[in-house]
Amino acid sequence: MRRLAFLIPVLLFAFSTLAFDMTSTSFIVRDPIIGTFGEEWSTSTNYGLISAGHTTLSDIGGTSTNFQIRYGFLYWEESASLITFDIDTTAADTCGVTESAAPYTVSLGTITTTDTRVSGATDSVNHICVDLETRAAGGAVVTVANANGANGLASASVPADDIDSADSAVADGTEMYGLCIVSTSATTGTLDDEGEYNADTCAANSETNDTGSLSTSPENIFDTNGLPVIGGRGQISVNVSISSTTPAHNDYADAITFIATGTF
Amino acid sequence: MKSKKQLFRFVSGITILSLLILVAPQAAMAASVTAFKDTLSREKASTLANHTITFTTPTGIAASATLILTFDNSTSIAAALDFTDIDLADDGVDVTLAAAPSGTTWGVVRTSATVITFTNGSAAVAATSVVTIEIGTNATSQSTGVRQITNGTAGTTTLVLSGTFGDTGTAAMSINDDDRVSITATVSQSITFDLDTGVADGETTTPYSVALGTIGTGDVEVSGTTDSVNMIIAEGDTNASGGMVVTVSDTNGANGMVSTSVPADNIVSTTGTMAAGTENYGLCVITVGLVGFTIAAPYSGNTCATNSNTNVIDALTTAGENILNSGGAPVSAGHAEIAVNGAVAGTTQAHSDYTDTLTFIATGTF
Repeated sequence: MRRLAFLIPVLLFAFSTLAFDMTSTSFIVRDPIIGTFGEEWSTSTNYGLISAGHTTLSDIGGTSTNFQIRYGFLYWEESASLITFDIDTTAADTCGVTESAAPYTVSLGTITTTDTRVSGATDSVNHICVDLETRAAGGAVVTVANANGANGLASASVPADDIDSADSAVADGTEMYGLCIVSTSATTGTLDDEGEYNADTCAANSETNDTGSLSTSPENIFDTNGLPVIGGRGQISVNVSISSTTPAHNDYADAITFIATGTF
Repeated sequence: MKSKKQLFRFVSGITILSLLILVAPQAAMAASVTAFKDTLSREKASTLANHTITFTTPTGIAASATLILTFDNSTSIAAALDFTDIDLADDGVDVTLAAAPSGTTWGVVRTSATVITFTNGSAAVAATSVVTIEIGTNATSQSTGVRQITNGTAGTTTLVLSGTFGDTGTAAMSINDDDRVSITATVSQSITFDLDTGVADGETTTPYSVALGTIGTGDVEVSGTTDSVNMIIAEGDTNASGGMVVTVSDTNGANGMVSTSVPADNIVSTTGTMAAGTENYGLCVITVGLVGFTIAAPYSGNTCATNSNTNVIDALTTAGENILNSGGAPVSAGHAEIAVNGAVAGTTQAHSDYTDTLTFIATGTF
């Protein structure tokens, strides 16, 4: 009886002290758990069948030419604390596959009262592409803010001269500057356009796009409906039109900042 | 019998102890915070950023408990960052922060380049409270923060929440090669200016001319239908940032209209009110029909209308003077009608060849 009394706590403690992790570059088998007193009992060239029970902690189970069996729990990389976000730019309608490096620029070129400039191959104006991926339980939100707020594109030499940004459509002869979302997609989950950018009329090369007004305070432009998303991609069009009284300058500029935040 | 009792006690004791040891760690396991996020003002690598951290604590934060923020991925907290650069709100209500806890005041210490430690004062934060921490220039509760946190290298970075308050959590942020897109554009310069002449508004072609006809001492000849004398119509557009200025000069200056055959004979041009029997010649800008343009000094403020014999004119010069401008701003479809006025005295020499030539120049300031 004394032996039995000693054995009970030993058995209870032993596993946690002898188990060791098995690792590779992509996964960890943590604290391997062992069956109870069994043996490999059948093998062939391609597989091994193991009995219910095996004695040695973290021991190799059945093996063959092509595989090896080990006991344990499989822990993948801690995906819940991952978020990746990337910006790219391209004039082509290929945000789904384009990767580009910083600095990210969109040159709208020379605007006239009869030529509204928009993202797309026609005007050779870049789109802004965003890639978003997260396993955050509460999903993620992407915000957009610009340097000049409602003043939109401001002249570097005469800052009071600007091309205003408002929640309206671009049109020849009407001063307007802003963004709209051409498309969104995701391989798992959803990437949705949000706020002022929700359901606006928007297409590559279209000179009647409906833009959302920009603000110096971050505003939501995408979200994932409160859920994780894999392979989320958004294609944003930059649009500008001017009136006959829009001051002439060759140094109109704005800077747009995108921030992705996951809720874990 | 006694030995059985002892054995039973021994086995029971060991078993209970074993179970307690197994169970105890589970009881001590921290709860995970919920809705945990860290919103950065910038996500560019190696760039200063404000942080807005929010989470819901299932356990609450007991008095004197610590709450520790641990950043990774080469994130660097400014060495001088202290409680003046930080706000902490419990369910939206800012608490008082200081370097060390005292009473209900929380203590905040930058423990290292990646760690900030908060120590609660005497007031516990209730379970399920929403805690909001602002770090950087966005912290404005007691004072506006001046120091920020420098982002690490590009890639996923994490913020780990821990401390003796018991809850834990990990939030990830994406640090990128750049989080900004630069937008540039050009608007080319343009300016157009056009003259027309007519007794009424309309488009005409060159040569532009105004025939004042025969001037008698009993009548002032002036633009309009009454005397059938043309107005001079000026139209302009420009996107010049500084707008457009229109100047007028004449060939003969103050001599006004000069006889071709006897150049010494003239009808002078002086500033004043036109009147029959008083020799004078000059221009004024008709206030009706003025669009986009402003009447510039010295022509501003003058009374002027078509068919009026009492218009106030300004003396013409060979050097040229401003007559119109667009108020220092771009103008679209600027439109002005200018009256030509002539009157003679009883001593004005008779000639049929009095002439003058007016030149209008529009200049944009880009």
